[in-house]
Amino acid sequence: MSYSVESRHAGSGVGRVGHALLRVALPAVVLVIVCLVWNWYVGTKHSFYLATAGAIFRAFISELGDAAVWRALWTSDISLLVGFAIAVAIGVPLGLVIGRIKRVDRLLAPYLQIALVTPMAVLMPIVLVALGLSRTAQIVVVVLFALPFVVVPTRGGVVTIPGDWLDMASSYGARELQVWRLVLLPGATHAIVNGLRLGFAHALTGEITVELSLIAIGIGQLIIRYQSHYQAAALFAFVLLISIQSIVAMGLLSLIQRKVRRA
Amino acid sequence: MSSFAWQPGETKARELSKTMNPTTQAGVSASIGTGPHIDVNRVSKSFRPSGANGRGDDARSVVALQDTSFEVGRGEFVSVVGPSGCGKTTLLRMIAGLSSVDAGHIFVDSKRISGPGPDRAVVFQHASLLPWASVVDNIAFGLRLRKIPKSERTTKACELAALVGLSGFESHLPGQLSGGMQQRVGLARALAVDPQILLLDEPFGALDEITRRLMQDELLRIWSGTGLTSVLITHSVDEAILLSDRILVMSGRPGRVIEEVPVTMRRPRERGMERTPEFVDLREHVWELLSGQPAAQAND
Repeated sequence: MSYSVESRHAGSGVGRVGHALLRVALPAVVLVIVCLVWNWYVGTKHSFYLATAGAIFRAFISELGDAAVWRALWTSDISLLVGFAIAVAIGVPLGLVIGRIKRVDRLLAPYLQIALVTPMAVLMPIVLVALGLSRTAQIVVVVLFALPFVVVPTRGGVVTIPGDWLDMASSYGARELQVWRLVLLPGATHAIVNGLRLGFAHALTGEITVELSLIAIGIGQLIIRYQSHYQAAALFAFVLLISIQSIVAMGLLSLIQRKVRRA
Repeated sequence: MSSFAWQPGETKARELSKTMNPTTQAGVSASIGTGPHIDVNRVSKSFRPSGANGRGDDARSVVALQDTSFEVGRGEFVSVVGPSGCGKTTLLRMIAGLSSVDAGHIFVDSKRISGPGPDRAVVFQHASLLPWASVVDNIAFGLRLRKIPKSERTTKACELAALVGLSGFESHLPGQLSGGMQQRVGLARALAVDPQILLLDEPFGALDEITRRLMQDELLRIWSGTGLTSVLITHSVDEAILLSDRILVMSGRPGRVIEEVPVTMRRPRERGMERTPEFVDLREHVWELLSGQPAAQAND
């Protein structure tokens, strides 16, 4: 009997290791297949705008040590971070107020819906006409892209808090500030962090869109340079670097979300 | 009918309720005779259904309660039964101070109530626990609002967790508890603030039958030790008979008290009493009263 128990335990240990290996191995296999298909495709096209997976990887390693690349990222990241911080500073309190005060909700709900469905890119020329080709204009565009996606989930987090919780707090004599501190904010935190993730993704989209189309600095400038010099491998490697940077940022926000959920 | 004799009539019912509960007498004898603890005086309440305009469209408003009056003595356990939509929960919310009255007054200790107060605590139908807070933190919620030091409120919350049979679960989150355990936390949270009045809004309505019976026994045990003035909203006639000194039977919408039925069975009450002639007769009588009342379409 004891033998079979030990065997089961040993088996479950092996199973865990095997499961972990599969989790790493399967995406790696997919990556290898994609690279092979990509290389085959590039081989059939012979285009200046394409590069093999190996060439992209070599360019990626090279860019990691290139100061110009990090300068470009940092230049764009300043606008991204400032714009995103402003969107959060405005969006979270605004979402909380809209969610809590029905009159404000009725007042602003139509505009929120419009902001959600309007492609913010169409507002970029207006912003640039008003503010010129400046970093301020770039930051305003980032704010415009991110703001609705911070406000809406935050509002949702507040309005979906069960009325029972609020009744319960009221029945014990909670004042408005206590309701905010002990019920509304903890109850809405998960939705708020979701809003931050969504907002960050849209802020990044806004940042790159404005740099590619109107203000060629930072990331946008470098992409345009690689494109115009037919440096396909460098271009793909740089896009990969931007993606990794975004994944790291999203990972940090997910970490916050998990910590908040556990708290 | 068995040998059990009915004592209908408001005055008679109140007199009976004040004299037939040994626990109540032991706990609050000094207070009896100083007036009702809760006095609901000709209370009415209407609701405007969602979608009605905001210009006071009286024609579309629904009268939930009309001219409802009753009293609850200090230390008395009163249950309210009635068809769905008769305004039972509305009535409890008004006593709790969570809803306002349209007409009439509600007095607690001869003082007209204008909102929630430290003298009253509510046990909600769905426990209403904060899912991110531990059992202890949920129990201590009311104490935290009252700025009781953390060590003091934690000690008290742990004691109450033990009282409701949750020793060993103090640091669990509500999601890790069964429905019955969650209701125990809700009950402990209400007891933590040392209320004088316990308002129970169908606290066992969402539980399975076995858990429900266990919780009824627990409530009987805990209430016997405190002697709190209690008002229980319930759909279960058996539950009302088992727990109460008096049952208020309400009419269908618009709700009002059609009869106050005293429950004269001895305390402490225990399982098996459901088979006694008194219990059976009471059950039949309450059901007769209820069977003549139409249920409303909406919940109260």
